Amino acid sequence: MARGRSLLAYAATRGLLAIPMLLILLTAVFFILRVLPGDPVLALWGGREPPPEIVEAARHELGLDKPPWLQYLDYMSRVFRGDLGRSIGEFYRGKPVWGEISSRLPATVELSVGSMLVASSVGIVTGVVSGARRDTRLDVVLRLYGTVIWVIPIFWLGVLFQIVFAIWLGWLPPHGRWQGTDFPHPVTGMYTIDSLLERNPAHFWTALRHLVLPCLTLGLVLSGFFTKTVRANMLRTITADYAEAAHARGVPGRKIVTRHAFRNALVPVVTVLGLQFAILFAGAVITEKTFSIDGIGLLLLESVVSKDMTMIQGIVVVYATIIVGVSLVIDILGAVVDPRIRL
Amino acid sequence: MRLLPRVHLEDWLPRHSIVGRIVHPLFEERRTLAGRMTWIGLGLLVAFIVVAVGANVIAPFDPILPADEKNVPPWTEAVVNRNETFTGWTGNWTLLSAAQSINRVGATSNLAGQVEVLRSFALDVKRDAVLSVGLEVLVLSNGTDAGHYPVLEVSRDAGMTWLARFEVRTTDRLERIDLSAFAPWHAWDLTRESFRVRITHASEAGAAGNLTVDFVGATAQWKSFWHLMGTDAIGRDVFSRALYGTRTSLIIMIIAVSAAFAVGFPLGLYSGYRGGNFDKILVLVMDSLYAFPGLLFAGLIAVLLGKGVVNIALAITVIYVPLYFRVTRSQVLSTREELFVEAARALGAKPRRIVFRYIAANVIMVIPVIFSISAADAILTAAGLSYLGLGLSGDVPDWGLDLSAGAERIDNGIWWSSFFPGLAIVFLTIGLSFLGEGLNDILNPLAKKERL
Repeated sequence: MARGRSLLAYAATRGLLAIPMLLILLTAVFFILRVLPGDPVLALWGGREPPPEIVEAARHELGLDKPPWLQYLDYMSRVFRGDLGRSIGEFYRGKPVWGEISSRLPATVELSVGSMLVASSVGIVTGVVSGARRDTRLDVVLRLYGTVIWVIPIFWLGVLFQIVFAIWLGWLPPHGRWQGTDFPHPVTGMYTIDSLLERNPAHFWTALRHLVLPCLTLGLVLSGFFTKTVRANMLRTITADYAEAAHARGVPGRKIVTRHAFRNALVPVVTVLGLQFAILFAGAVITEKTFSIDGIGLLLLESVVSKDMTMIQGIVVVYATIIVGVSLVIDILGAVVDPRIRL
Repeated sequence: MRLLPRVHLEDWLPRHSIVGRIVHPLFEERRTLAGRMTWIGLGLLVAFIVVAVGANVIAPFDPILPADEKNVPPWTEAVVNRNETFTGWTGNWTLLSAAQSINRVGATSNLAGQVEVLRSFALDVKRDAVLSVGLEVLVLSNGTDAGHYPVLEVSRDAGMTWLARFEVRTTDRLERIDLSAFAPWHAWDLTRESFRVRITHASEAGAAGNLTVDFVGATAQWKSFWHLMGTDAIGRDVFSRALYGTRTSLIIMIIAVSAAFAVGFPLGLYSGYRGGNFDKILVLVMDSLYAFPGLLFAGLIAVLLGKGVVNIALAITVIYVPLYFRVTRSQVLSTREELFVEAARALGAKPRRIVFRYIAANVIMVIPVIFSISAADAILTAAGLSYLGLGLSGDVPDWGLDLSAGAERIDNGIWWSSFFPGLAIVFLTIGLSFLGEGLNDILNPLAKKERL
């Protein structure tokens, strides 16, 4: 590639690359769902044998009587027009898929953002300390923390927190997002932000208390990854030429860590953040189940149980779009921060 | 004095054979942090394999059949209290079916001398450590004439012999009769088949007259077995299930990881060596799959394949194929440019020979690391699938399944049936990731350079 490649050109090519990625994911999901055992039409009838003309009508309505390739094109074109169809499952039959998803999205976003905050703050602090004090006892402890916390099952940590902090100590609520029926006025759907918009500290406190355990659970597990990555990058930057040069100039060690090593260590972290989002979403599904938070994850589980094809497709489309979009943004962000990536 | 000649590893395992390149550093660096982690991980893994193989021998109870009382806490012998009424009777008392209820008129007899035998007390004593046995009787004044009273006798051998006679002279009060003093009681005395209670209508005021017994119940108190990790909601031993669960987890892990290796490694070798459009498309597809949440992807495929250990393992495979592919391919790309490959090519070696003899042999060095890391992840994924209800189901002893069944009951303070299966997962995954991380530090020369 040419050396003077502009940021805009990089962003454009990266954006173009995102499209086939999305296409491949949607195609994979389409085919997996088509071969899923269990006829959705029969499932609608609760296992009883419906009259054949009704089966035909329902199949026609769902477009299942068309040849597969036509169904595929139909599905793709509708997805790109933003039409996710209507649910065919037993829980949400006839309701628009996007409506259901958008009503569940705020809970998942709240959980994900909160967990990411916990993960990055805990992970960066432990990683920097561990890297700056390498080969000391503290470093060994923090490295072990990073390795161990990363392989602890989220649901087990969640159950542990529930037992200790909610049931034995009674400090925090064990389940759900809200207590009582006095909900904050819905603007964004995220209770913390809504209650802040209302300027109601009692509401905000309730929302926050319900968020602490889920975010801590998911965030701590994800922080292991940050600890390891930040530590590795710290080791690289702390021994880099510019850090040694600073040392030679007589800059104190603490300043080298904060000014030189720390800042440069964070750049590669931003770029691996994109991969973290896929893990974050999978983790969010488990966390939602553990803490009974009705976000998209629980919706997905319900739809898988009831074989609600359109709902599953819709949720996967939303997940895939968010993941591809986020990795696009992060790659571009990485290129802004570190011009070498554009090469 | 040395009885055995000193064994040199070098004599048995050449340093530069494929296995030797892993084993030698393992012994030489055993005192470093990475070496210690590797050995701890290896030890844990071996321990789990031993447990999986020897689960039949080690497990004190059956993993599927209820072995004891429900919800016995860990590390204790719980005292189990049972109070059961009968479900079968023979005799000529009337209205007997209502006798089990304490607030409705129970069994009535209108003639002295009538005999009723009550049987099938569902005491279900699980262990022969009976602390006490008793009867509870309530005679109603409403429906009982003066001078009429019941006489109770118990039998431990299905009515062949009758022990003790108790006359219940009080009315409207639950009379508790302690039978413990009579004879030593055993679990087999209290089964549905052997334990009987006979009530006889006795009278001091002539034969005609009513007697109404509202409630007859048998009570038993016994000590449960001692359980290391307690019992679950059906009375299965959590420890035994955790032991057998090791087997399930290891089988899923081995199938998933080997299948992912069998698909991803050759694809990565071929794609990396050949390059071109084939490589580009494959990379794009693999990257797309890698970007999507693996757990959800595996969940969809698990629903597609149906439940069962092998099916779940294959569903999980899908997540790790891209991982093996990527690692192998990137390793091939760097090895391809090495001097010895160049030399082989210059000497006229065929591409097949170059790939398998020169490149694959070097690339395979990174596989143990990836193997243990993906194995840890596969166990987490399998447990996660079971937890979400997309994986295994039914009676199969599986950590994720047990954890999710137990998680619903922690609000009642029953923490052990979800805590311990999770602990097992944690130990196995920690072992595998220690192994992976340690091996990575030891085997990867780049990381080693960085450590210095």
